[in-house]
Amino acid sequence: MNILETKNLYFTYPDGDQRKIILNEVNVSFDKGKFYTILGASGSGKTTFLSLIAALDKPERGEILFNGEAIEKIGYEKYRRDDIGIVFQSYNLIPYMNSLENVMVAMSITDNEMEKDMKAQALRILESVGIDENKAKRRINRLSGGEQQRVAIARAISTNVDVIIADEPTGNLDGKTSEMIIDIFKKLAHEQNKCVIMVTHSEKIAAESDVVLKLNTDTQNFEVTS
Amino acid sequence: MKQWKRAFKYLYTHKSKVLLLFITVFIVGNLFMSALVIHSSSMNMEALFKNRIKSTVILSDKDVSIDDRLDLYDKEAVAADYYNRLSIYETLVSEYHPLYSSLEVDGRNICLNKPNNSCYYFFGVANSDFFELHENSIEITEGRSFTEEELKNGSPVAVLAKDLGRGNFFENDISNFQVGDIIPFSIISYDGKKVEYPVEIIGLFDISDKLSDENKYPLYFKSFMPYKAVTKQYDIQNELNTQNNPIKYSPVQLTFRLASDNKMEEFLQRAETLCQSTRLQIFHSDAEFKKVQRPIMAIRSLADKQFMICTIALITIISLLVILFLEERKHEIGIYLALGERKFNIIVQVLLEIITVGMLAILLSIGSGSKLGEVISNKMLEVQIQEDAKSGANELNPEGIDLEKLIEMYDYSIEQDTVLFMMGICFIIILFSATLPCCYFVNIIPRKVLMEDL
Ligand SMILES: Nc1ncnc2c1ncn2[C@@H]1O[C@H](COP(=O)(O)OP(=O)(O)OP(=O)(O)O)[C@@H](O)[C@H]1O
Ligand SMILES: [Mg+2]
Repeated sequence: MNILETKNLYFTYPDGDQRKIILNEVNVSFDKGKFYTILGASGSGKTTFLSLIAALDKPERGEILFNGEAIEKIGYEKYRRDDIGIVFQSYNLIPYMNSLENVMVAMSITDNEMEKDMKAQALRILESVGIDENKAKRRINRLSGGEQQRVAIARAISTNVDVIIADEPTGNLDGKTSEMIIDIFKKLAHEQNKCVIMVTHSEKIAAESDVVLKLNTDTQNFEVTS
Repeated sequence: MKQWKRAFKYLYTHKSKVLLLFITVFIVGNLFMSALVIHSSSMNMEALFKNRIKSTVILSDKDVSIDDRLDLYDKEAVAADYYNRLSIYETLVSEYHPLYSSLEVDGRNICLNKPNNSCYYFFGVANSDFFELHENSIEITEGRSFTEEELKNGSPVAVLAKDLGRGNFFENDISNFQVGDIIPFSIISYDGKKVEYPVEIIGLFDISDKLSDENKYPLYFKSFMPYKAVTKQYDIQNELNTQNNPIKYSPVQLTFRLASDNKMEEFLQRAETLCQSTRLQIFHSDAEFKKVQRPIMAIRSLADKQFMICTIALITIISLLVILFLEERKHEIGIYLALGERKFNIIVQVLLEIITVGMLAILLSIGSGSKLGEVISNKMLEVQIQEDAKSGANELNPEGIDLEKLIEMYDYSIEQDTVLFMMGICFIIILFSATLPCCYFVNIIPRKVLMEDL
């Protein structure tokens, strides 16, 4: 069974007096253990799609199934808390906390089982994305963009979720850092059996993924290539 | 990271916002507390007065003709029967030397019992359990009070303050009275005729320690006799003075302490008919109370308005500040929502922050606010008293309640109940005015704040 599946997903935005269709009856599915990339022109609706499968907003029509169950039934809040991790293009870390605290906030919110020593666990996860203890205790605004992005990734994976959604996580990063992050995602999919869905503009990164979904602006639908 | 940890982290890292919230709440808290102090102290004051002049009727005039006075005494039996706790005083200056000196003690004119020029104030009483005795202001520690027989016959017997003659109060110790001693009074006419009027001491009293010094002093110079013995002295003096100027008037004050409040109406009607033929003035506790109550009430109604305004101000300020702060924190709230945090927990975090700062400000405003209330209240009282003085409402008050003394009598000490009330009310206001905006902000759609507002 697919871990994540969309059924006739439909979403529009107001455009003047009319409504502009962004997603038109989208049916796609995602499996565990695979690294997905989503490509598409700017403004095609990639971010919109991610925010729907991340339950940050409601689709106008259609539904999203997680392990065969509609997320509306699971409860949007609970679904976000226990089933998915999100990495935003703009990091979205809590500015008045340090990296460690940002990760620990997510860990304390989820109902998923965490280790007894949450702090040690958080430090280990941060270490795995290349944030050492010194940096972990630094305020967010004293970290570079790449470091903040890695903290955001650490936060997304810290809650032991099966699905990780990332919106252009490498957009602001140099080639080397970006490669390292792609590496992390690949490992998450292939070694830890997660389902990783990532939006990117880079064909090169897309080539490294298992499945590429291209959002077509004309049909407002995906073209899937493996 | 539990909510309270997050809340304190936020407060710690947003000191200017904390300060802004703290200062505004502190200012309103001061006004709030001062209103509360004025209100509660005026309530205490009212209770104090009600208690003090409870069911008391005082008939008083400085110049009452002796005939009128005697007329009153005739009716006294009726009143006594009807109102079982009754006492009648008559103030009389009895001289056994034509000269008497006076001394100022605590602003009062007091006659001294010096050997060569002495005078005593004798208060005629109609009851063995007379007023002071009944009120426990004095206690007869040597000897006894009057018998019914002595009261009926107007026997020349007296009860004096023990310290009056024992030099404990003044340097000149002259009499050193004992029970059984006879004071050799004589009544002297203007043309020098003299009639012996010896008075026997049957009791000596101690003054209660519970009284304030101010209330104690007059008692040192109060001596009690059966009222008929007092009027007899007048009669003798008038007999001696027939050709010249008979004493027609003497100060009279009758105090009736009623057994119960409900008899007031009925008694006042009686007293009025009683006083129609005389020029006696009736003071009764209701009227007296209203007189003192007037400035208190005026101040209280102002305080109540201040209280209302403060409540509205606190609600408005907290709501606006919370809206302002949350508007800025939309993004943060969006992050919490995206992480799947329960809306309730987000509200709890914000409330913890607001309540911590707000209640701290309120707590600190209790001390300064009550001081402020004291200052405001005293200022307002002064204004009220001046207005009363102008309008003539501030008359002699026979119970000794001087409006000027009102300020001194005001008790501004804050009771635990007031503090708890203040904390409770403010807690509810802060909780109420912070919760509503919170509820609005946690219902934002996270996509909108996280994806659009950047
Ligand atoms: N609130 C909104 N109201 C109206 N139109 C919107 C709104 N939000 C987004 N859009 C439009 O919807 C389209 C899809 O936006 P979206 O952010 O999903 O694109 P995207 O594929 O992520 O683009 P990019 O690659 O530039 O990030 C865009 O044309 C955008 O202008
Ligand atoms: Mg986008």
